[in-house]
Amino acid sequence: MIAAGLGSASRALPGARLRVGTRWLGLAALAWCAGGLVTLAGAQGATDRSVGPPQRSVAEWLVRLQQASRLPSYVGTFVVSSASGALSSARIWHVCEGEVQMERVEALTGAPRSTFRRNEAVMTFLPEARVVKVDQRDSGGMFPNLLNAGQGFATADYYTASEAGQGRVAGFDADIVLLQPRDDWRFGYRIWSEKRSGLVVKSQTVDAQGRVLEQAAFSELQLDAPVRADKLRQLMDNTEGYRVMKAERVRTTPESEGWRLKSGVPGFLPQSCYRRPVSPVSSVVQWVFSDGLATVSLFMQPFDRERHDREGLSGMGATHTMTRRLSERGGDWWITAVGEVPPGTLKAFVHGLERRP
Amino acid sequence: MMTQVDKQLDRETLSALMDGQLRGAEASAALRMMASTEAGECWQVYHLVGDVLRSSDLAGCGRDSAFLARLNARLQEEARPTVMVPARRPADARDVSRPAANDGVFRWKMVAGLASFAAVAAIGWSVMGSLGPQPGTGAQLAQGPSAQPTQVMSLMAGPGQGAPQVALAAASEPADMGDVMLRDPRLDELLAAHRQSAGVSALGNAAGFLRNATFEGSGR
Repeated sequence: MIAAGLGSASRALPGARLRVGTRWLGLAALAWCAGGLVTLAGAQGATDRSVGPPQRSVAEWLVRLQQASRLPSYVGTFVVSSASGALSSARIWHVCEGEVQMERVEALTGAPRSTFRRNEAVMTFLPEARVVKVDQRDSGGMFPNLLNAGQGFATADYYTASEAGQGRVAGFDADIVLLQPRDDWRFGYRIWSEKRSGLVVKSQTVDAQGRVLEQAAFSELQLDAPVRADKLRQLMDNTEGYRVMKAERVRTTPESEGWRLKSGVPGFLPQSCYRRPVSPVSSVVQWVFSDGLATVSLFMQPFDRERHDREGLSGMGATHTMTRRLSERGGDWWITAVGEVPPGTLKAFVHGLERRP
Repeated sequence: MMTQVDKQLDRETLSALMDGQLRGAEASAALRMMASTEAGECWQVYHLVGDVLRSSDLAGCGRDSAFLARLNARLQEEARPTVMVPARRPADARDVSRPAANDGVFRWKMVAGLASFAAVAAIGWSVMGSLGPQPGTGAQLAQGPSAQPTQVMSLMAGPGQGAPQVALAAASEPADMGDVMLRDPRLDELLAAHRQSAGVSALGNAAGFLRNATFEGSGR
């Protein structure tokens, strides 16, 4: 009863939540007090529908979407499909206790695997091979200051946000927001954000012609589900019977690897650079760029006539790949660019890349 | 004994044997055929192809011949190799272990023993899958140092390399290229590395991670 009352009441106060946090807290408290008055709150909720969703800026939307990852807990079935027809799904457990976020992703399609994440630590169990891969994600701190608003972040300069009505996903009412690119270097996103929590319950990657290239959604979702962090932790730490493989990558810099970008792509900033082995004898340098929503990886490795036989562009869903041979004074290189961006963006990156003199 | 063996390698029959579709005399004939080296290699390659089609992670094992050799040696050390045949053969066990009129013929025991190699090899295959070089270093698969996988990779090269370079226009067409395309382990490796880095997005810490963890390894 109380929860229902709170939900409806907060829905009746569009837009107030983020801008006037304290006021909202007060009102939320009021709603708690008035928890019994479900009928009244429900009536307010009904009138709200005709008013439409709250108008928020790009920055406000991003803050709201990010905050949702601090939801205490949820369990759901997540489905990802691409325009090429590929369909994947997974069972998801999410729990957040204090500063610790944990997730368990049990793949329901393809090779069996379960992925655990505790903040930045990621472990992927591959039961067929009896192997567990251990890796450290780039800090969730790519946008660490997003939540401490006031930071000017570039994302808002390259996308516009417009609310596009409301929908229902996995049984939850959601606000639909369209994040549209201001130029042709990136794709647009249509996001379904659960009304109460802001959780992204569905998202679509949309190209300039408005075609959906890829979409991901919860087909079924239970918020505030009984997920226990210690249980997940136990599962994650139990590597018995598995061979533990640590990701062998070392942080490096493009400068020390001898690479530079003579012309970049507007909005895409360098994030990180790694060197990782691809075979006992060779390794590849990965240079990562992001505009906040889309990510591009540039992979550079010495050219190998045997293996690097096909230059060109390919795409599957929103993910595009471009390969090119780069001949320089110092030798031949094989460049692979991968990203959830239009092919033109990859082309610009690949052609903008050069060896430092 | 080899003189009795049908030297002609019938791949259709071998495939049917692999799928457990043969019974009785057919199965016996197929098992006789299996005595040839060529058939043994073919059997291994077929299994490897099947494994790789199911999961690229299984491509990492190229040590079956070594395993088989060891197994052979161990079996020969043991006094009665045929005793373990029925126990280890769930599918064709009946045919082999049926109290046959030719029970006393030594040749039959050899054939049965061979069948057991095959069966155990099939089982051993998945065991080796967990012991061999592993998917984290998936790129190694392509350049596999041992002869066996290299041979298979070249077998796979036809569809495998053609597929990744799907014309851009095709990407937006709902074609059934979901599972067959991008069977290039080297590119898969880079895609995986990219996903790892792209996990964090302004859409929320979880959103990108969920997408990538769900998408990874399937639907390529």
